[in-house]
Amino acid sequence: MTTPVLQVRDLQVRLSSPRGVVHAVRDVSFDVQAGHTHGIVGESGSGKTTLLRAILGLLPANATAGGTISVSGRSVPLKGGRAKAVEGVSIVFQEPMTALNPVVRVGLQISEAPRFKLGLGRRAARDRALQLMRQVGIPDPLRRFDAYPHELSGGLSQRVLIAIALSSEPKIILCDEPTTALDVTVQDQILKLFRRISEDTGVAIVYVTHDLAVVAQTCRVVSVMYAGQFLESGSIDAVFGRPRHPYTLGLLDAVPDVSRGGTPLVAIPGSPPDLVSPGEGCPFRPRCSYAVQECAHGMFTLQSLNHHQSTACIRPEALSISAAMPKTEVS
Amino acid sequence: MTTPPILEARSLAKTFSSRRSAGDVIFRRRTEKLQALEGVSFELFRGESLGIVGESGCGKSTLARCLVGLYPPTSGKTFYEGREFDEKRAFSDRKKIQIVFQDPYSSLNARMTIGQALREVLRVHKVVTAGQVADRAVELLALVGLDADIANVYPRQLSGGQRQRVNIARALAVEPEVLIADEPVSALDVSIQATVLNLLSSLRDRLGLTLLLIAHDLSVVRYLCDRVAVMYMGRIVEIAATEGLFKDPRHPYTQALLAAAPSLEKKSRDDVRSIGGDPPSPYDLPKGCRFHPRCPLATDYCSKVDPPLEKGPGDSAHQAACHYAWKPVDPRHTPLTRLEENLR
Repeated sequence: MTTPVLQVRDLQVRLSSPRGVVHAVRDVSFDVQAGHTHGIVGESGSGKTTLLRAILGLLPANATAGGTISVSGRSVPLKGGRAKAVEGVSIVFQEPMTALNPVVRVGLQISEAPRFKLGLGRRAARDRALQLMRQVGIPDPLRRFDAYPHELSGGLSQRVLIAIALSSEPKIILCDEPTTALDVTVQDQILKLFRRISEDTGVAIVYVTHDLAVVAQTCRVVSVMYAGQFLESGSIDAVFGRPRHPYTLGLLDAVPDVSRGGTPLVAIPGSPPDLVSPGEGCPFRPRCSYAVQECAHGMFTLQSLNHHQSTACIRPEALSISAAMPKTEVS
Repeated sequence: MTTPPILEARSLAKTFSSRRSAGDVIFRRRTEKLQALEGVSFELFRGESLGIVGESGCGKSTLARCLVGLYPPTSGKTFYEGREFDEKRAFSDRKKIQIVFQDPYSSLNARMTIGQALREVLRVHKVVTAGQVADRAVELLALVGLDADIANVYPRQLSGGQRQRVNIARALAVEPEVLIADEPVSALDVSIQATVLNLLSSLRDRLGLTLLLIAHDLSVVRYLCDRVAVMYMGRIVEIAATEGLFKDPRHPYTQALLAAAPSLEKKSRDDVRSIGGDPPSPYDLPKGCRFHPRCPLATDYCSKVDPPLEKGPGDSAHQAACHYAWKPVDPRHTPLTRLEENLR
C-alpha cells in the first residue's frame, strides 16, 4: 500500500466568534490516495469549507486547530491567519465569476504559477498556460488567452479556474462546490473533466458538495459530514447502497432523484444543531428516529464496520432491520 | 362544453432593451434587444401542477413574472378562465395568481415581524374583516406548519426553510387559485428541501391549488408535477405529461438535459455523450432552431427554419419543437459539420 497523498488525523478546528467558540470541525480523520477522488457531502454550516481551508493551510485568523494534516508526508501548519497556501495543494471555488481577477487577462492568470512558482521563463510559462487551457478543454486557447474573465461564460471561467488549479502542478486539488453555480449541461462537462484530469495526471481530488448525485457520479469514496463531524465514510456503493448511519439514510430519502419518480420524499425533522454549544453525544440525536439513551453520552467517531465502510452510529444494525426511515408526517 | 383552462398564455413575448447612455442616444447606436420570451403558449388546467424547467437565462423567471403581472409582456395575451387579463390588472385579478420567490432571505421585509407581514397582506386585500386579521394570520402559519409564536419574530431569526414557509403562507393569504413557485427550494439545504416540497404537494391536494413550479432541477419537477414544459432560450421546446417526458423525451435538448442530470442511480456515465458548448448569447440568438449550434442531430434545414411546437402523432398532449421529433431526419437535409468546440 502506498502512502496516501493527503492524511488528516483527528482534526479539530475552532473559530472564535462574538457568539462564542464555534466547533467547526471535530475529530475528522481521512486519507486520500493519489489519483483518487474523495467526496465530502454536507449541508451548509457542516464545516466542509473550514475543513478545506485547514488542508490548504489558510485557516482564518480567529481559528485554533488541533490534530495533524500532512500532504505527501509533509505536515501542514495549522496556524490561523497565514497568508501563504500549502505547497502542492490547489483549490477550485464555487463561484467562477468572482474567483478570477476581473482586470487581468485569463492567460496571464494561468501562467502566473508556472512563472513565479515553477520558475519558468515568460515564453515557457505562456506555452505551459496554453497547454493547460487545451488540457481543460478550452476551445481556441490562443484567442482565449487574451480574454478578460467577463468575456467568458460560466463554464469557460470554471475551466480557467481548473487550469489555474493545475498550473502549480499540485498533488491535491480541493473542490468547493465547483459546479453548483453552473447549468446542468455544463456541470456534466465539468464533472467529466475532473474525472479525466485525475486519471491523466494522478492528482488526488477532494470534492466537497451538498449534492449527493454529483458525488455518486464523480467519487470513489464519500464521507458524510454533519455538524463538523464525519458520520459515515466509505465507498460510494457501500454508503449510498447500504447506508449505515440514520443521517445518510435520511438524506437519501429526502432528496428527489431524476431516475426515480413518484416515491414519496421523507423529510428529516428538525434542523442542524448550533455549533457554538454542540453538547455531548451524537450530534444527529435530536433529529434521529433511532436514537436511544446511549446516544446522549460520549464521543461519536467513525468505527470501521468492514473494509469499505465506517459509521459513527452506535447501532448500525438497527438500520438494517427497517429499510427506510419511519415515515414522519409533514404538514 | 369543456371548461376553459384556469390560466392560458397565448404567444407571450417579452423583450428587454439594454440601458441607453447619453452617448448611445447622441451617436444613435442601436439599442440592444434581449428577447427573454418569444411565442410562449401553454394552458394550465385547474388542479394540475405544471413544471417549467430550463437552464439559467432561458426565460423561466421572466415567464413567471409576466404571468403574475409583475412585468407587462411585450406582446401576447394571458387568459384567466377564458377571460383576458387587462394590460393593467384589476386589483381583484391580482389576487388570483400569487408567487413564491426563490430566495427566502431577501423576499421578506427584515424590519417587519412575520405577523406584521402577513397581517399587512390581509388588510390591504381586505381578505377578512379587521377584527379577524390577527386570527387569520395565525391560521395561515398553522397551514404551512409553523407555530403561532413565529408571528412575533423577525425574519433573521428564522431558518431558510421556515422563511420559505412564511413566503408560502403570505402568498396563500389572499386565497389565490394559482400559485407560482419560482425555484422554491434551490436556496435551501438538502434536508430541508423535502419539507418544502412536501408542503407544496399537500397544499395542492388540500386547497385544490393549481401549481406552476419553476425549477432548474429536473428531479424536483419530476417529484411534484403532472406535466412538464422544457424551455430553451425563451421558448418552450417540449411539453408533455411528466412520465411521458422522462421516459420518451423527443427534443434533443430535453434528451441532453436528462442525460446530464446527475443521479444516484445512473452509474458509469462516460457512455452518455454530453452536449458541448454553452447556451448562446440572448442578445444574438442563432437563426433557425435556437438549439442547432449545440444539437447532435442538426442539419442545414435546422439552421434555416425555426421548428414550431408540434403535437405527436398518437399522444396529443406531447408536443416538441424539433423538425425531427416525430419523424426521421429527412435524407435531403445534410447534417451540419460543426466546430470541434461543439462536439466535445
